[in-house]
Amino acid sequence: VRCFRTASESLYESIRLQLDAAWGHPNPQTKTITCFDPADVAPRDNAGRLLLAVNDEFATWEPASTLLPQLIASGAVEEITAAEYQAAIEQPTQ
Amino acid sequence: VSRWQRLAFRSRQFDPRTIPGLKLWLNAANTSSMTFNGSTVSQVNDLSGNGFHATQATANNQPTYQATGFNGRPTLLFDATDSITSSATIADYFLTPTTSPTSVIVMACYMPSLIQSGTFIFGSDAQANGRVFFSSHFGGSSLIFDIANVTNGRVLAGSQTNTGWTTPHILTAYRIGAIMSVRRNGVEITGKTNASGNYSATTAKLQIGKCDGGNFNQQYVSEFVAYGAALTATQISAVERGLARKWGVTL
Repeated sequence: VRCFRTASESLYESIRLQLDAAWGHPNPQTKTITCFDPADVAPRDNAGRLLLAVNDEFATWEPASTLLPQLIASGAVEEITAAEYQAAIEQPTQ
Repeated sequence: VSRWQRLAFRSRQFDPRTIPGLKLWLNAANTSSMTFNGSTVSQVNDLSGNGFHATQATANNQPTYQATGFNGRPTLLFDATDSITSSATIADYFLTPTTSPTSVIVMACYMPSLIQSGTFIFGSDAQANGRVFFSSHFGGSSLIFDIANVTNGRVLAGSQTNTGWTTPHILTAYRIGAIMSVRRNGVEITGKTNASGNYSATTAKLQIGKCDGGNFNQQYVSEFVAYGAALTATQISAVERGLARKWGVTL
């Protein structure tokens, strides 16, 4: 599993929509609305940062595999451990 | 037919062998079909008669038997490293895998919590030998069911965040030629009618739990059946209803 965190809701949504466009979502045939959860329903940590966990393979599909290193290098998206992700989503919201 | 006979008929448990084409049948309620290693299980025998037993030699990766973990009934708990591998290959549990892959899998299962990080339920032990890939939470809360590792042999469904996944349920995933579907408790979550893509390699074995290429968290599995046959909608429904009655699930 690979887990990510970002403080930018606009960036998160921009990535999601880019991937949706590349992968053909929403797809009425496969009933896939989007490739991962929209920001308004996605899990967040206590600091309000958006959290995303994906299967390893998810991150190998283009254009995710190209985008991810750029986003991480920019510092706008942090890759966190599964333990950090788990701890963050299990914290009671304030 | 007497009242006694009607009651006896009603109480008889569903036998998956009554539907033609059964290739694999694992049942945690049948303790005599399992080899115990303390509280964990190293082998679950195939009750279909085909001898496709599922095994796990490594003690740390063996599922844990829980006598009342599924609606008060027996179940196997697979944690993040656990899996069992059946000797059934794609060639065994698919009908015509190289020309029109056809297999129907129905299982009684649930996950203890919705951890959105790739909860994996079943798939191939080595994708290079032919890929079956089912992950209930693949990207965020997206579900994926992939046959033959091609875009047209794949169905996905987003926003799988409801509690249906964390409640004991009957999960069905099938590809019958061009038709693919994933159903929970008899209701389709995702599907397509124009699936394509065939297997070139068919030697991958069926694995439940942690599979090749997938991430896994926790999963309870009480019964698992696989048919290598183009079951009719009525037959699929009969299997779902049979398992539901057996495991106390309301469809």
